[in-house]
Order: sequence, then C-alpha cells, then structure tokens
Amino acid sequence: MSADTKHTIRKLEKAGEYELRIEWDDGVAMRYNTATLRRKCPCASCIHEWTGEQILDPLSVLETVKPVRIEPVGRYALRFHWNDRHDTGLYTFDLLRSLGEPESSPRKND
Amino acid sequence: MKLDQNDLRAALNELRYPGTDLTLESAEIIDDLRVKNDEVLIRLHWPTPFQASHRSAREAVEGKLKEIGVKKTHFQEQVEIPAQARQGENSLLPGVRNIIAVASGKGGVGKSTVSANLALSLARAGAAVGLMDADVYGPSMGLMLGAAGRPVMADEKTLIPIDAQGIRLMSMAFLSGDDTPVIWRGPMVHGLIQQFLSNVAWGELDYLVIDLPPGTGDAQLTLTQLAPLSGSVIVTTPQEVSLIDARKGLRMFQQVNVPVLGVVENMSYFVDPASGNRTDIFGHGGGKRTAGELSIPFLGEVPIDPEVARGGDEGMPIVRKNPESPAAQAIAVIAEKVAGQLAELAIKGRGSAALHLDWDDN
Repeated sequence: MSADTKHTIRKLEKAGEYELRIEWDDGVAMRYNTATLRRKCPCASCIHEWTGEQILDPLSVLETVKPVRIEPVGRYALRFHWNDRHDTGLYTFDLLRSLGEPESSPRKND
Repeated sequence: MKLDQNDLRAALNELRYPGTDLTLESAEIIDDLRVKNDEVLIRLHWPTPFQASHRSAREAVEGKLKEIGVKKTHFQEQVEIPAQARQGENSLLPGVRNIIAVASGKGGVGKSTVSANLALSLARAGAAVGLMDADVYGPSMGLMLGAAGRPVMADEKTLIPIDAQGIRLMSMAFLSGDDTPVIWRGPMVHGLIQQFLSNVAWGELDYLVIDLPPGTGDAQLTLTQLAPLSGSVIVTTPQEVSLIDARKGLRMFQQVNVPVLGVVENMSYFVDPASGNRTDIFGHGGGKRTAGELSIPFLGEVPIDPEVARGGDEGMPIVRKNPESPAAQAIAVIAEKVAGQLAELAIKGRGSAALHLDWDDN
C-alpha cells in the first residue's frame, strides 16, 4: 500500500448554531466552537508570517461569528468563509486536529 | 452435489485482484453470480484496464469454481475504473476519475518521459487518459508526443485539449510556444495552474497524468494544493544523491496529504543490444533502497535505452514505438501497479463524505 498520510476527515457537520463537529478517519470525533476557531485563523493577516505573532485581536471576534460556508482545499485543508467576511484562512487537517475538543463518549461508526 | 450462491461466494471469498489487496468479493468486482445446474454465470467489473490482470483473475475464479464442482463458468466482463471519492461538490476536474502527479526532486531524471509513457501505457490498455504538461518552466510534451496542433477554445475561457496518440493533451507550451523560455513569477504560475485546472475541458477521463515541474518549489506546491490529486509517483535515478531529492518530494506530498504511490527508478541499467550484457551505468538499486527507507512502494526500474530518448525526440514514445522493448515493458508494469493502487484507494475510500458545508442549509 501507499505511504501513510496524515489524518483525514471522514465527516464534517454542523452540531449547533456555533458548533462544528468533525469525525476523523480513525473514528475520533471532535467539536469546535466557531468563534474560537475564527480566533485561531492561521492566515497571513491574522498571524504574522515571520514571527508567528498573532495580529488578530481575539477580542475583536464576536461570539456570534460562524461559518457561512466551508470548502475543501486539495486534500489537506479546509477553507472557512466566516460571516465576518473573513475567508483567507486555510485550516490544515493537522491544525484542526490540534484545535478540537475530543468528544467525551466517542461515537464510532454510527 | 447441488451448488448454491453462498457456496460459490464462499469459495471465491479469498481471491484477490492481481497486484492489489482487494478481494473480488468485497471490492464488488464480482458484480453478479448466477448458478444454473452445474454451470455458473459470473459478471465482473474490472477496476483497472489491464487485460493481463483480468486474465489471471478470471483463471483464478475458474479454478476455484472447478474445485467445488462447477462444470463450466461463463464470464461477462466490463472495465469500470473506480473514481476517487471527492471532497467537495464544486471540486476541480469533475469528470476525472483519478489524478496522478508525476514528480521528481530534481531535473534530468526523465520525469517527462516517464509521464508520457505512463499515460500511453494506460491508454493502450483501453483507459480514457489525459496528460497535463504542467512543467511551466520547460514544457516538452507537445514535442514528445509529436503534437503540433494548438488547442481550440470551446468558448471564451474553455480550452479543448488536443488529441495526441489517443490521449488528451494540454501543455503550457501550447500557450507560450515550444522554444520560448517561460519566465513565470510565483503569482503568475499560480494563476496559470488554476486556469489549467479549471478551464480545460478534459471531459470524462479514467486517468489524468500531471507532469509536474522538477523540484519542490512554488509551482509544485501550488499544484499539489489546488488539484484534487489521487496519488503521486516520484521518479529518481539510481544514484545515492537522488535519495535526498526523493525524500523532499515525499515530504511535499505528505504535507498536502497526497498518497505517494511509489518510486520509479529511471535510467536504471543499460543492456547492450549487441551482446546482451547489462551495465549499471549510474549504479543500481538506489530507487529500491530509497523506497525501502521511506517506506513507500517501489514501482519498478526503467532501463536506459537509446530508443527511449530517440522516441521522445521523434514524438513517438517507446511504449508506442516499440512496446515489446524492455523499457516499454517496464513502464507497462509500473502503469499496472499504479492503476492497482489507485483502484485500491478509490474502493477503500468509497462512502467518504463530501467536505463541503453550507452552514445555513443545515
């Protein structure tokens, strides 16, 4: 078989008005608060490309921020179009994997 | 003894499709199976186009059924190359079932030659194949395939690939001319690649082979990020130094989550046509060792054959010019392995959901 690749997303769903749910290929499920996710935007206007410092002021992100649309980029990342009109962040699967709150009782293969 | 469906299916349960670990049963290669007295009618959907694989699978089926008392087996066969699961409804290249990127860590290893011959091997086996020459810095596919035409526009922005020896070909050279050096800056490369991915009317394809520019820079990264690649092939030469370059290539694909189907060792050895003696001009086995060290499959070695280079210059690649030559045979084997692995990936990835979500529709 081909070389191992990283985790991929099996399922992407809206779990609540401000909550995203991702099910990974290894059965792990994670939840994400949408405003928290927006505050972690990795794009060049939110994170300084050289220093890695955050440019975005987390306090400027409202609790009511949520995606309008999410779409895949290649097979390694998701692009979020937020309702504050920000849409330049590519969230790699690695980043998403590190940001999620694991569900307490994993639902496997439901 | 009376035969029934379940006995038959149980007997066939363990059989695998050649070159893959797909069982005929679970991969739905056996589409239908009927028993009438001591005769069986079996309908098969082959996941790769190669007749040698079909033949050996068919013989295995026949043998197994004979063992349990089937007098005669009738076959209905159809090639149905499975499409990779797509992670988005508006994804690029919608009619293309499999997209293979051919890459090399450095130039001069014969990546374009391997791409052209790989595409032709798949097409010779009967698949619908496209070839995208994305080598922005030195596109050469037009020349290699003896395609002199220019693509026509279907409408204001859609390009129709040209037909070259039975494959659909699109090359950066068609837009710039074969002998004009292309000096693209990063953002232009990005735009051009985007255009190639979204504005070319490829139509329905079983395989699209993308010949990447050598190296692991901007253009390569853009392509691997934008195109929904199904898998990649890394071309190297036998030298030790190629290990370093191959590793870079592997890293690049891993970063963007594209499965590496394996390593091809090109210019592997030379067989003197007069004496039949084999000489390992650049050493031997570097590709295999590299694959081993990186834990990726080794797809095969392509010998040095002056005919290969000549074929490229004449616009008649070796696979067409002399399909019985060792170099052409080696590439055919590689193509078979690539097709097998892609079928495996596609069949195992079935049912994976689209990663496109409109928040307010849910």
